[in-house]
Amino acid sequence: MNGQAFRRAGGQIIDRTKPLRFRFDGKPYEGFAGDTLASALMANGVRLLGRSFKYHRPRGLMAIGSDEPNALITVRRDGNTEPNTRATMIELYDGLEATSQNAWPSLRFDLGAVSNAVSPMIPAGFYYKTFMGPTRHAWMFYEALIRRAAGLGFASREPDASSYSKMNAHAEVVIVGAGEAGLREAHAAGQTGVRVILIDEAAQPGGWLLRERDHSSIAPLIAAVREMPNVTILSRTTAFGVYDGLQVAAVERIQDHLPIVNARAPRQRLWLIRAQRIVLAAGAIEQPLLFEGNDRPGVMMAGAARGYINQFGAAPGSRVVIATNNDTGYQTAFDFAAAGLPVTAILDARDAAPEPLADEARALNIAVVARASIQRTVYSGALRGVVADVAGKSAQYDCDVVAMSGGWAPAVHLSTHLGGKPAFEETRGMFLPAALPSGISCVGAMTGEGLPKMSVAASSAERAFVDFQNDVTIKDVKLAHREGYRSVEHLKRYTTLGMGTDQGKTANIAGLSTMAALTGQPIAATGTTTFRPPYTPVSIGALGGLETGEHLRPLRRTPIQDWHEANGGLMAVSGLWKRPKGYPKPGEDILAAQIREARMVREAVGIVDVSTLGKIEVQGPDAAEFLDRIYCSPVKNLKIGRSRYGVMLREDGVVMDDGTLARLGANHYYVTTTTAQAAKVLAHMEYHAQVTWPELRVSIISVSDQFGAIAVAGPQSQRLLARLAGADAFDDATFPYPSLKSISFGGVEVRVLRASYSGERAYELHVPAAYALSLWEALLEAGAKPYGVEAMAILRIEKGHVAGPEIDGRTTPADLGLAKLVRMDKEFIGRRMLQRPGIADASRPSLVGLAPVDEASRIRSGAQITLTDVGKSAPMIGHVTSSCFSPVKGHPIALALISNAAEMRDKIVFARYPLRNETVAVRVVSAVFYDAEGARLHV
Amino acid sequence: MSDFRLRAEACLGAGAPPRSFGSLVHITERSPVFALEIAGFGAPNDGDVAHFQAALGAAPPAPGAVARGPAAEVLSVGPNRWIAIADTPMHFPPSENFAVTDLSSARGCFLLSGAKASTVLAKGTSVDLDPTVFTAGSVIVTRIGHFSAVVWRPSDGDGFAVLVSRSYARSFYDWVILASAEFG
Repeated sequence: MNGQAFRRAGGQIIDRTKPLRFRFDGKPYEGFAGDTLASALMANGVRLLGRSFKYHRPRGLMAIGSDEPNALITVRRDGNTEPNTRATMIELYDGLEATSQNAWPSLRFDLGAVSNAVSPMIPAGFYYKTFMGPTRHAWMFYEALIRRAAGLGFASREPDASSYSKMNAHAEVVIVGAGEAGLREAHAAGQTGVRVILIDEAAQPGGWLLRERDHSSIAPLIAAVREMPNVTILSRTTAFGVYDGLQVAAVERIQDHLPIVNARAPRQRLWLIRAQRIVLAAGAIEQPLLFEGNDRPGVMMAGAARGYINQFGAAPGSRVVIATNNDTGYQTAFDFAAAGLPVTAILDARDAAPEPLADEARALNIAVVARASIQRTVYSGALRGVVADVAGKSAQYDCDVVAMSGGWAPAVHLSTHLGGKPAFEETRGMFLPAALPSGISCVGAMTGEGLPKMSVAASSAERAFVDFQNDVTIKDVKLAHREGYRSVEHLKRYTTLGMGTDQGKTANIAGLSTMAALTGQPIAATGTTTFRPPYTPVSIGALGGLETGEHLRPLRRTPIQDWHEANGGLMAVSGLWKRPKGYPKPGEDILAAQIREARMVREAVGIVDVSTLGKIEVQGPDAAEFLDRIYCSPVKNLKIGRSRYGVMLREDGVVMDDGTLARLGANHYYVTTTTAQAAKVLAHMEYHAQVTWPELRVSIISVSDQFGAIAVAGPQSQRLLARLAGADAFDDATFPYPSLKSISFGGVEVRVLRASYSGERAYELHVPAAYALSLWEALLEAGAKPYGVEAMAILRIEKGHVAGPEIDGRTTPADLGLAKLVRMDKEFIGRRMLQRPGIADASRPSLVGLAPVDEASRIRSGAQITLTDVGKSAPMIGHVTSSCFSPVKGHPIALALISNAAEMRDKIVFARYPLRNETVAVRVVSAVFYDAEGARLHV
Repeated sequence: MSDFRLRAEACLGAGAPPRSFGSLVHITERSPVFALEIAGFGAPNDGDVAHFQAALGAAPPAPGAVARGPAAEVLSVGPNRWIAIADTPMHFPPSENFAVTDLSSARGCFLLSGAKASTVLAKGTSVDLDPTVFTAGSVIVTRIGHFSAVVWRPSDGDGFAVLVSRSYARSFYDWVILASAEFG
């Protein structure tokens, strides 16, 4: 280790008793607790930190905070890898591993730098000119090469090993920025006793004051704020957006400064803070000067340069030239001198050097040169000096650091997220927050307070960088101007000015000033682009929070699910549920199992968990009237204790859902919906009860979770149930098909529906969910065996019952063969639209059955139906909706929707499945393959 | 076989015991729990209020409030909608102005307590849970993470009671465990 050759005395926030080891590009270094990666590398004399985005130019540190455009670094490794992190924001910890980006094979010798040599061939708008129009296909070829050569860091291909969290918070006052102004606001608001949240990016409050040679003056204020129990200070937290309703979004970096990440605790936390009042104290961002080679390592912001010395005792170099157009550059000179670092000269662009600052400088033997501005840097492997224009004459100054100050721009970003554009104030030469929404105020440097007047002099240097991160030069801005992209919004999109991870914090002002000079318009008329959240980059992980992996979606469980999982149920995801496809026996595949289970129901009895059905109680004096309007099928004449199949339509006449309606009392109905549409049907009913017919006295309550449901189906179902609840209860005379009866099973009242999905005699047992598992086990003990949803599907396809694949949001009752259910003599939702010619057209695709001509070939769901089996262009007359192997027919069958279905009956058509290049000749048959008379319901 | 008795299961079954994270977060399932949802057809008149009070031992609470009777807590869950919660079955005699629905099996009830209980909930809900805002005897219908929930501060204890739909209960419990992990 070569030691920290550039570490100087001072450095108020580092702890020299706590050395930390770290690696950069594999090479070991040492720093101190309190360092950032940037300050530690600086103390070690490392000047080259990255390669630029487009031209692969060598780049060093430019800033000290989150505005850093150049030093983008990848930290950690494997599943903890984080690319594109600014070295200025990475707190040093023991064992930190950091690597540079966008350079190959190494940072020092980067082959990609050839793009710098050919830069005249890749001007702004290169993509638009090269990969559009007739040559657009070239993109396919060059994409991989360009993506490799240009760009930022790489994300890990491994799953993120960190965890993240979200937090909601509320405060009467939220203050963004814990510099002096923010701290004073927090102190004042805290004294009123209300809840205050103070958000700050840095590891500790103090803001720019911490970068002064002596920051002890702020300590009492910090201590006073810390003592207030009602003030919460969120350090290492970046407020990145302000949203409607005075919400502040922020990311807290909880563990990024720790050597070992505790995976149980969040690495970062996303805060959503609702405020009564927001005070923005976001400070100001120093802006660069424009000269040829202003991007060379060693050229940095004057405020940052002295910050490194004062805060960390890290010297940016051994000899500095200060270039400034305002008074703040002088402080940098004084701080360099105080640290024993020679200052070659202060080059002040103004006509006269300010007194008494200039005197103070001269007293320190620092040359002060007025009317001086840098023309270009002298660089060969390292910064050697600058060539400046001094009152019209050229002069060279030796240095290895240029500390530049183009003035300070208020960090107006957060003040504009709700829509207000910042206003350019001519007298001060800066954009200031304007048109602030009610409840938001700004304080401190953000309002221009304490900042020198800005005067951005346009430069004629072609290769002066205005946007360091996106490699946008003055030449690019000129090109945009020449080609007509003069609006700042066009300028941004044509040149990429202000894009990237830094969002133009050090680029926008220079870019738009240059454009203003070119167009001859004032800056106020030129305007700025729109600042949008986030202020600084936010990890996708933080936005995801806890809701990842198995928690991405909630999982719903039926009350019987534990049993399915413990007893061989092959579980499959179905919406938010998991349901058993079937229960394969050892050595049996699911296809064999579902056929066995379907046969069992046809021949004996089986039970299936249908708890996922939607279940709704509709009560009230107007319940009958309400449901009569909801369903297109009749409701009002349903007798108490009876049930029936019901269909409801959308307003456009298309079937929305089907299910069972049962009348429990004069003003009390129990209705079921399909599993998939349960939530939608409930919302549909609620909407119409509250909005369309508020005069109806009706209550709609979901009882989907109250009742588990078990279908008991098969010719032996009645006998099975009689064993559990007595034969009398299931006498057909008092419990006919279709009806509902409350029957006691083991001391619990169960709503039993005589309904059938399979076509066999069947009963649906709706039991309070707490007892569902116990009832399921009692049925098994009484001799029943379970079947899964695949067998259930076979049974319903054989019966020609429609389900989700047929009720697909495009089909009318007539399309589904349900026209006879529709009662046109009443009003119901969808009635008017049912009469439209297109909806009533007899040639619309409607439901048919299909059977393979060879009685063997499989028909695939989704297959296209054509009249001929030749030619790619044979017109499609419909598609297969559902298909299965039918145990009762002994061959595959399918349901389909085809045009002119009545005329097509008994004809041979073709089911074509291009994905597998299959064509099956099929005969159009009745959709009901089994027991068309319905006799099995009563066996 | 007809002499068998069905047994009731807690909504998490036997697989989810009470959990504690340090001394900061404790979660337990309240079981058995009985719930009735009472919906009024319009605002209750004096007779309705008397009927309600006779049935549950408490008058219908105002929006956002919990009323406590001798046997039941009554939560306001919407305009003219209430949920009554008790440890034993309740009886609400039929009334033409109220729709009454038994939801005893439909909901899982969890109790969250400890110094970080509100922090855990704040990871999932935007409700202001500060004790000066969400005071004892307050109730709100909200979302916690993915889950629709009724949250209230029991008037006789610390912490929070949370009512979620039974089918989501396990998933909700797992989410609370995940959100509490950093505390122990």
